[in-house]
Amino acid sequence: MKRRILRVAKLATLGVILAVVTLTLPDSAPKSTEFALVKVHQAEAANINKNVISILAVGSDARPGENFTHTRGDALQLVTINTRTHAASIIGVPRDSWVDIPGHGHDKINASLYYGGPELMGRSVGNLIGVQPTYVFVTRFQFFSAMVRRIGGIDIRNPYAFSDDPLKRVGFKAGRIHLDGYDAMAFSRIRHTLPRGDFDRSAHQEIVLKGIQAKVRAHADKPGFIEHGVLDAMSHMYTNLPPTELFRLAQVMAQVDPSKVRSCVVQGGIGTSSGGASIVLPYVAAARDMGNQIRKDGTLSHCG
Amino acid sequence: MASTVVLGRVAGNVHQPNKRIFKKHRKRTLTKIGRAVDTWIDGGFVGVGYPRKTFHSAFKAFTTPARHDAKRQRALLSNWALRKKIDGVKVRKRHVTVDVFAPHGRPAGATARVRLVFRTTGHIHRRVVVRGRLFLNPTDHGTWQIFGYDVARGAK
Repeated sequence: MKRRILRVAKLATLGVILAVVTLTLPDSAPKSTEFALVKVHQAEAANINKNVISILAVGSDARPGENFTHTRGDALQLVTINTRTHAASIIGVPRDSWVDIPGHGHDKINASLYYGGPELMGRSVGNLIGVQPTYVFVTRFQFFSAMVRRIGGIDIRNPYAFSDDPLKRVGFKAGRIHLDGYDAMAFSRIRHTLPRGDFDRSAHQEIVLKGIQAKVRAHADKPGFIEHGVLDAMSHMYTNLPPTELFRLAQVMAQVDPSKVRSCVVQGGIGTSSGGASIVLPYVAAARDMGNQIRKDGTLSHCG
Repeated sequence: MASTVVLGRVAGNVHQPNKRIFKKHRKRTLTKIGRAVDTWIDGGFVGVGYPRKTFHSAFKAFTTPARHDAKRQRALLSNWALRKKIDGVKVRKRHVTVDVFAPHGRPAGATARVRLVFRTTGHIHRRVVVRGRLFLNPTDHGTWQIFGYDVARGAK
């Protein structure tokens, strides 16, 4: 009997401790860091339309335990938003693009993240396209899945059916499909079975980004949706932005009209580096043409 | 007549000590956000005399870029189209619900959900409904500014 009373007392004490911990834990106390959002200081901001903001979204291939802001950037998408017209554009950059990385010579563009973190990643993509991003957002693929799961998955239009043995054996049907967190990650990562490899994969990432934005937009008028979303993101995020700017940025992104989003992928030839690695030799003139378009009003009329 | 301003959802004040911190800010935040929203409602719709030529005070609580946009959309965000055809308005409802983003209990952003209903008098008798969301940030001076909006307007 005494032992039973002791056990009940222990459980009650544990319950009280848990309750106290839960009640005193700050709402936005840092949890595991899943994202990084960094504001990049840029010298050429004056050349860009004041109503346009640009964000480089980077999917890092970091393994557990690795610093995801200093590994290779696998998915590279430059998103520009016109805050006045609520139009947007997405420019995908193949990760194997062979470029001059400031201070490190020629290498694959995705090595920029490893060499110099989000800032250098932003500069390398900015130098290729001709427009420096205002913000660089980095996440790793497993957390990207969690992010999509948190918003209840996304609906997209898949241009053609494809599959991939390790990532999605049953594959993705053509047409309108729903992607949960894992599927969104797999859809964005599969490359080997696609007709145009990295270029098609980049286009798929753009489809997923559009799906995420459309989902957020559809829920944006729900009371407290953006407020709670930003708070949740903050608790998993490293950032140098003040909360006021994070909130403003979130509202700007949620206001983008999905019917006004256009995307392109920087094209290029296939080559081999001196070290024998397969590389993409980006068509720089076409990339710059896209940059000139988005510099004016944040939108793309053609893909360069 | 000021709008009825009530607190909606709050992100960031569930646990202590954030709850306690937010409690200190709550009243002042609602008052200041209400003031910014009312500057727009009064200046653009129901706090001015008719007929009139301009709505110069309607967007005083907007940030500079938002003010420029709002002026381009003055038919939506003010009584611009009716300004010369009516001689007054009678307010039926002006209600504001404020959702607050308050990391660590400190307000850093807000969405004001607005519902304004009024009847016009004069040459045109119309029931006008303005509803939507205004997005606000606190300024360094302690006031709140509207940096964006998603507003719809209907009349019958």
